[in-house]
Amino acid sequence: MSAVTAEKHEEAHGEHDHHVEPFWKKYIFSTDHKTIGIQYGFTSLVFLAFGFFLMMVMRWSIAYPDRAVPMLADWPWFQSWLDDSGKVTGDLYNMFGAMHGTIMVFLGVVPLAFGAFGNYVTPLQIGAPDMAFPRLNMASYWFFLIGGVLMFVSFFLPSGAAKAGWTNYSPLATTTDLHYGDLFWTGQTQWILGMVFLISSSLLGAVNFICTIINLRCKGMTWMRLPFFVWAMLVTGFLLLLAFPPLEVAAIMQLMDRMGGTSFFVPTGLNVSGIPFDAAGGGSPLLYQHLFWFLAHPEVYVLILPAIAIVSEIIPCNTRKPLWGYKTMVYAVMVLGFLAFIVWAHHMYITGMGPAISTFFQTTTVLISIPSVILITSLLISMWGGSIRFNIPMLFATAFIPMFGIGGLTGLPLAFSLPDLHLHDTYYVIGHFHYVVAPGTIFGLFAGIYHWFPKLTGRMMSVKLGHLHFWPSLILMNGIFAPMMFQGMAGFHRRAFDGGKAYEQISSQEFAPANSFFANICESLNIIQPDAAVLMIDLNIITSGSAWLLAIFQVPFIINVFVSPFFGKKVKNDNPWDATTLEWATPTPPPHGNFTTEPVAYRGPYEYSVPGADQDFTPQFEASGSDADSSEGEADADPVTV
Amino acid sequence: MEIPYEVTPRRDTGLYNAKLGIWLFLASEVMLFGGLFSAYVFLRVGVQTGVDNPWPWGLNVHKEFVWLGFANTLILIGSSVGVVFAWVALKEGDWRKFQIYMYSVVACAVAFMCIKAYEYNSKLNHHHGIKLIDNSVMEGTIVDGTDKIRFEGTEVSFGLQAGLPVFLKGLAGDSFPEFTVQGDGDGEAAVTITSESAFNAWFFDERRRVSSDLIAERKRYRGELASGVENPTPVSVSSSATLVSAEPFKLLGNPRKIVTHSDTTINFSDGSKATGTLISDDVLYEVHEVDLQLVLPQNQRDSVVWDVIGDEGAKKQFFSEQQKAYEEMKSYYAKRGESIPEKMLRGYVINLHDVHVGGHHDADHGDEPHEGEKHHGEEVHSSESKPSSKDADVHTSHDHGNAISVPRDKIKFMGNHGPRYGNYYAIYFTMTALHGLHVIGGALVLLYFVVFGKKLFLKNPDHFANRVEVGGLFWHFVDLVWIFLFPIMYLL
Repeated sequence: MSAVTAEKHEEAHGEHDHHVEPFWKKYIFSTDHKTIGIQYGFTSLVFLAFGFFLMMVMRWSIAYPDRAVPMLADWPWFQSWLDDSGKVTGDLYNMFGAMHGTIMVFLGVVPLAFGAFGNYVTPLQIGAPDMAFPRLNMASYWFFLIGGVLMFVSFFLPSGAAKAGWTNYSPLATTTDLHYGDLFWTGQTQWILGMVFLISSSLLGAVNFICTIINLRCKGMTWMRLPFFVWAMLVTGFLLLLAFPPLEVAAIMQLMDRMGGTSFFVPTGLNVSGIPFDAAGGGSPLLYQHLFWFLAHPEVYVLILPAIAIVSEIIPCNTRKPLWGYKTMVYAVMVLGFLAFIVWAHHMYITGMGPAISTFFQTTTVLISIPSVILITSLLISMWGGSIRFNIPMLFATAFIPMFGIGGLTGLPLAFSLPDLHLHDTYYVIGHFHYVVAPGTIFGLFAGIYHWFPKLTGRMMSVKLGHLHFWPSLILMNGIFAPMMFQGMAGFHRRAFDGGKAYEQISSQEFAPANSFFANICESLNIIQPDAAVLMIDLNIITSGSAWLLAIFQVPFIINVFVSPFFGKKVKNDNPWDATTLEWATPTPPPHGNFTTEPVAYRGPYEYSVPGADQDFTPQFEASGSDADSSEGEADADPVTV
Repeated sequence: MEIPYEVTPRRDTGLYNAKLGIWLFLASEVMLFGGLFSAYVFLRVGVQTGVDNPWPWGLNVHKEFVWLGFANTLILIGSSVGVVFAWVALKEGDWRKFQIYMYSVVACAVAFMCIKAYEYNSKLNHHHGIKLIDNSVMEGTIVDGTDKIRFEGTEVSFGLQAGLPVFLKGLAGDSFPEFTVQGDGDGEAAVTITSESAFNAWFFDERRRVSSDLIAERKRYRGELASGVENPTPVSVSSSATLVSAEPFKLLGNPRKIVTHSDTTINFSDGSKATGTLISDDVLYEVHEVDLQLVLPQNQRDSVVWDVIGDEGAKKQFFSEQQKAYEEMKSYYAKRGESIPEKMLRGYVINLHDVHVGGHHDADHGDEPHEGEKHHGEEVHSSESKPSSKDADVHTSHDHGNAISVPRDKIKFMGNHGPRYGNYYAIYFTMTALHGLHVIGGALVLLYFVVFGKKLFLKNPDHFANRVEVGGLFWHFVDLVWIFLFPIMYLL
């Protein structure tokens, strides 16, 4: 480490801490992007754990529909939602299902990926002192928190939380809980209000990110010298900025439908429980789906792009090779961002919107796999021939590639409207989507936490606990989601709360079990022909068991996060991974204002193993790393004059 | 380190941070209103003829308001220009001029919102529609309060597991009735409730008791199950309460919150129930217009609406005007050598000049059968008027002498011309309200600049001018949205 020495580090502390800010201003209402990033990180990890807990209860109901839920039955709140003998009721299952999706997507993964990593890392990587609008940044976090609290509190209303699925389709969502006297204080209405806060938070965040990346790049940080992480954040920012407002429209209209009695999404002649619904009618449920998926499909890329971005920082660093096809990846991610806006209706093939529209969206959906494959292939080729350091972040990053690959490839049958007829609303869809976001995105995020933890705290996370976290997680994630693929192909419906008793009945009566995909495989492999329906239902136990074990194996991670800041191995210098990007030029942890000297980017972000250099990494921020590069770097180091 | 480019633009992008930020924000605003405009198109195009409520022509709905809407357009355009002049004044360093321009911009915003409020008030409080069970529609005004079900209760019962019961909101007497809680026969002293706050306290206490009882009961049940008791006593917890009042109390029931009602009971949507005597559930209504487009042509003469209005003269007038309008349209198209286009055969509304309750006109016109009704069926079918109503001078009388009584069992849907009334009204209110919020927000920001901006202006005039520029960009956007809203809501 040459640019920033330990003394300078001390100096920086002295310089920035002499006006001591009160605790609440420094840690609670902070405008520092790093503090806000950490706030986002902790809040979203708490929500991830909460969403996971909801899912564990659901998995109990699926695996053992006839048995009382263990441990929870005596909690007063659960009492009112379990049935007399302590079994999960359909209402509870619906509530947990809807809120699991909502919490994981909007309160867990997006804030962690975009809010936490984006906030912490982006300004550091572009050499900026902070975000462009620090107070707006704080407002984003607090809007997010208010939205999250509303969602959480709605569980404790008499009506419980929202129950109409995370997609909140109308007219189901419009008519749920309508018999409650005070419509405002029902879970369904609070869901909408919570979403309005979360959307506002994301919008403000997106404006801030894009502005920061466009306007606050340091000297010499030209577009093609931006780390790929920053590019992905820029595209993610645009996705959020342009895709969220239509969902806000949908939320406002649904709120009007519930509270104002309008019929935006209420068709003429709707009956609820046999009683004609008191509304003017003439609305369109399909309109809601269009508005919802116009957001929710780009949202999938909001979930996945930050993970790809994190992985593409970690892989070059640990293979000690440049990122393969950096420019191609940049263009691919831009194409991906554009195409993400015109694929939304592939979620709606079975709504009857017509074959012409379906055909258009099939085409675009298949097209979007091209940039996705470019990204993943580039990452894979980046590892080719490198002498790879398999530290914990690299393990997670490596596992990300095949897991995301499985998730992506299993999406192809869903992209075509014909196989989608069979697979729609089955566990196949669940399996596909979760492969993308659970062992995909979340592994990417874990990788990021292990990777940047030394920058945050000055200490490394425990490697032993890291292994104890990684290997079981990898196996158990597959234990959860692989069986779902088979169940789905056998026609197992995703909303069966009783673990598929109805499925068993139908399969034995109407369809010969031999028709199921899984049974066919068993037959062709000469395995004894099982009663496929029973076999499918038995898979529930594997899935549920894996889920509960997975929860246990997150404990090492939690311990690691809380113990390592105090007892972990101290870092030797500010750049413990010998990385090249600008965040490693800051003191550890970075002070308010980030850089002690004005940062300058002299070269591209991934100059590893440059021939002729005396180290195997040539940081962006070092003027004299490589002679061949430095003169060029100096020459266009100053694209702007202040 | 200071954050760079807060005041001066960055050379390669040409923008300072806030300007870039506001453009991005406006991009998301475009998507927001774009979503609503798309919804407008989607809903309007998706109207199924003869099934859904027809989409009214803005000009027809807004006959009294088009000029107000136009005035609002001019006001907003003017204020947009004002913002530019205010910014120019700042660049010239003339604070006084800036103040004048900026205050007039804010005054424009206030004027805009006042006009808006007048329109809203008129739609919400003076225009009501009733759709009868055969989909015929009457437009007019409901006499105040008669849309409610008037009831005198002596007893209410409700569940104790959900929120506060709905009937509370319908209590209409001067004071809270004196309720006595019906005991469950276990010899406790009767509880008396005399105020709303006492009711709330009592209710939440009871709710807590019920839930803890339930927990204990379920615990016992599960325990017995676990210990192998065969057929354990099922869980039972009394979770409802009955309150009795010695004096009958007045109840105005909101029909939207009522599932069924009879002469002695009202069943509310949350399961609570009131017992007593029904005073009246008829809706008193002044009819101004009758709209039969959702009724099949052959059924129009026998429509329920004529029974409800009970005025042969009005009926005769309706069909003769319909016929006249048809003839006019026929000759109009005949002159051009065309036949009447299919969509023009669907009319909208016929104004009734005068409705005489009880049908005084019967004697004059007699009830001779409308000759040729059968073989002129085709013509009758097509003889509805063009959408723009010919007679704008709607008869309005302010005494209730002309109000008819509409039996509730004949009503399918009723309401004021608020957002509930149909998708046109829904999107009109949603979009204009959202736009109104933007106007208020923008005006507040601009007001803040002019009231509290002097200090920054003296310290750093460029920085202050930047702020005004950014606020002005937002204001232009607000203006632009209205320029789209005015034609699609008022004219088309």
